[in-house]
Amino acid sequence: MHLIPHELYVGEIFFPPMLLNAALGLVAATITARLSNRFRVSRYFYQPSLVLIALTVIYTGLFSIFLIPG
Amino acid sequence: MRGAPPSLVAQMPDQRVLSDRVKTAIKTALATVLAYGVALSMDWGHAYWAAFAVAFCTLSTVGESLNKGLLRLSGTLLGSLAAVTLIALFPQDRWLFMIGMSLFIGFCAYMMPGNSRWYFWLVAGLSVPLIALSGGSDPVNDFQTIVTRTEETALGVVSYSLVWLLIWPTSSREALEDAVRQLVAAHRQLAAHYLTPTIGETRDAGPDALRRQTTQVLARLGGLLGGAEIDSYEVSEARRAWRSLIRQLSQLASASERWRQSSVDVREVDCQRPIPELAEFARELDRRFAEIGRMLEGRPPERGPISVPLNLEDAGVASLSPFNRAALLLYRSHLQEIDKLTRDLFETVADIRNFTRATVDPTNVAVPLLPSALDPERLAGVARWFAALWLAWLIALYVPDIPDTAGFIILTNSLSMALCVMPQLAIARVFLPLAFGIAFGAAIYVLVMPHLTSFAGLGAVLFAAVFLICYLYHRPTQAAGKAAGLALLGMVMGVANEQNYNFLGVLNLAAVLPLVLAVLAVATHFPVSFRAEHVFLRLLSRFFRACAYLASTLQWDPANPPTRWQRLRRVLHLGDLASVPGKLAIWGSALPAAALGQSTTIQIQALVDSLQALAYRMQDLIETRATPQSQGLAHELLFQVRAWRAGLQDIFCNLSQHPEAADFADFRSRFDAMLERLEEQIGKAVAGEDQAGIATRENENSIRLLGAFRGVSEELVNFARQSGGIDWARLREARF
Repeated sequence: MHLIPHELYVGEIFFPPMLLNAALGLVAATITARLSNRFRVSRYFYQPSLVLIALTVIYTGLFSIFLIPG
Repeated sequence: MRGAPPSLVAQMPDQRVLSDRVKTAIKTALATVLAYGVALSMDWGHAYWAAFAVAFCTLSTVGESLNKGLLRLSGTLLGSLAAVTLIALFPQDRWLFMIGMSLFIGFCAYMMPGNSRWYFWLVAGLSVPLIALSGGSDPVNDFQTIVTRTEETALGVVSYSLVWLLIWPTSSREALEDAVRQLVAAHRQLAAHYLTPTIGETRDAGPDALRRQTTQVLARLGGLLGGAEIDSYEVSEARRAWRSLIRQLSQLASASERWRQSSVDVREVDCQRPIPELAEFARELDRRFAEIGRMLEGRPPERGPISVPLNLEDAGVASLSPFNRAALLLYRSHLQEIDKLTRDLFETVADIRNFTRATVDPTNVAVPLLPSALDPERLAGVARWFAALWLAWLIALYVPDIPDTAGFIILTNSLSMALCVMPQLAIARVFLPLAFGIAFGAAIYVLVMPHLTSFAGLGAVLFAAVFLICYLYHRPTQAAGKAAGLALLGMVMGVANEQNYNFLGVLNLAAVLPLVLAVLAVATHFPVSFRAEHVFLRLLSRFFRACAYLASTLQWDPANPPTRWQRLRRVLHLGDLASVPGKLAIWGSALPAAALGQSTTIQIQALVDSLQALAYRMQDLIETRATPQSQGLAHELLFQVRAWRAGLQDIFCNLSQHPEAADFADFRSRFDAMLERLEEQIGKAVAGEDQAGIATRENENSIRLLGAFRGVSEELVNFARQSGGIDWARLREARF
């Protein structure tokens, strides 16, 4: 495992992989929330707003490990 | 053009060629260009602050716009004073500074809801972080910022006032008089509806449309009067009379609604027989409204109000069943109230028009301030603002590399304060106009502005951009979007005499915007949820809790005065009874489709209407209970009435926890059984009374009290009927 962090870049703009992972995590969590509302699964959660934040963190973590590692 | 016949005004060329939408957009664009032109020629920094005053303060009439502009200016001065004081007190301690600033802005946020001068408090609150953070670390810059901000705001107000006065001027006085005329005409039509067929009035619109119209016009009158007081000497001189006129119109709307409800109870009774003068009263009421309308048009009245005593005819009354008699007495008391209010209205209008000197008692009706001061929704709004500001502050301090931290805190504070006056606004709805303002401003900034070499070119671009935004966001409901779009356009363009181009600034602003909205979204859920369905259920529960407590006060013994704490609770719950149905109507219309489930917005509206009717019936009951009662009847009916009250209290307590538990069939059968038992008991009691004593005022009051009890019960049954159509499971269901 190398310890040197790598960066992503578009043109000459560099940004950390975490930023992209967090954005993707938010999008994935929002899609999950929409689907849960659509199929009425969200009623089984006590506090859906907190679940949305938790889902964002989980997705971001998963993407950071498997999709775009830092 | 004042005094010209409306048909002549309608034929003027500008009226035919350009719509109001285009005219308003042209005027706003012109005022913005003028403000920029003067600010740049004087070499003032932050020229877009003058454009802000134009974007946020322009309204449909000169007076209203000027009024709002003055509120902005005075709010800026108070905010500046607070900012300077806080900087002087805590120059080296950011935590104490933040606590002091939170206390000041929290007070401003608390003062905003339900206040006609809410804009003053909004500007005072948002000016503090703006002035304190824009100046950077040097306190001298802060003073310079205050001076510039005040100058630019005054410049914006002067610019649009000039444009509004010179181009297509719209007088606030005419708008105010038109609105009052409309309202009086609507009341005349409503009276005709309720008294039909006693008068042969032709009706233009259905009663529902007329009632909606009266509510909408009444809501506008306060703002119109505020504007008219500024731009018309005549209105300013008679402002006390105008204020009491608006108060009387508001009381008339409420009395008219209660009269409408009581007229439902007497639909089976031929009212002409027990009240022979009813037809004459209907004609007199119609003439009175016609005379008021005539005076508002500037013509002297042909005759004054004539007294029509609504005496009861004994034989007609005796033939009625006890509950029909009770309903009739309640109906008559509402007619008498309408009679008094229209008489006062006549005299006040005559006073305004200088036809006679008003003899109406000028003393103000004391409105208890406590219910509004301790309104839980108001405090929840402050909690949301507090959570948003501190979250933004902590993110700015502890999360590294947040772009434009000052802008982040200022924008969060401004938007969360604005949410205190329109808490039902969905955060997602603000996103589009904000994003449009940034994208549009960025396009002009990057692609157009570098090619401009003179103010003529810049002025043309500014005019076109402002015109486009005003034209797109022209509806009153889009006012927030228009203001947000114009403000971001000005911020992104950053027009200055020595123009610099920095694309990073635009990107930073674009990056800050989602952060601000994210913070606001968090504060919308914590610490108090502002989701429409949560607030709707919260208010419903509060309404029934108030009803339950007020029902319990009916057992208070007049000989034993209540304690101070009991009186205080009664005042608070009476305030809830009066204000909660209006709030429910606003939140009911904000419910999303997912929360509605199988029910429709029309069903929700019908449910809210039934609650409004129940509130009026409760007020009737409480007022009637306060009148002297017949000891004889009270003794005879004691157990039945006590059981009725206890039953009502029990139902209200249950509904405050489970509004879905209202069962129409159960309520109907319980209510019918109670009516039957009481009817029998009253028959016995009246048979045992001395017939001469039946007509005494105490006996009348006791019969009216029974009518009021019946009214409350009928409205509860109606609520249960409406409640059956609501998809309560979906409304309560947890959702992302």
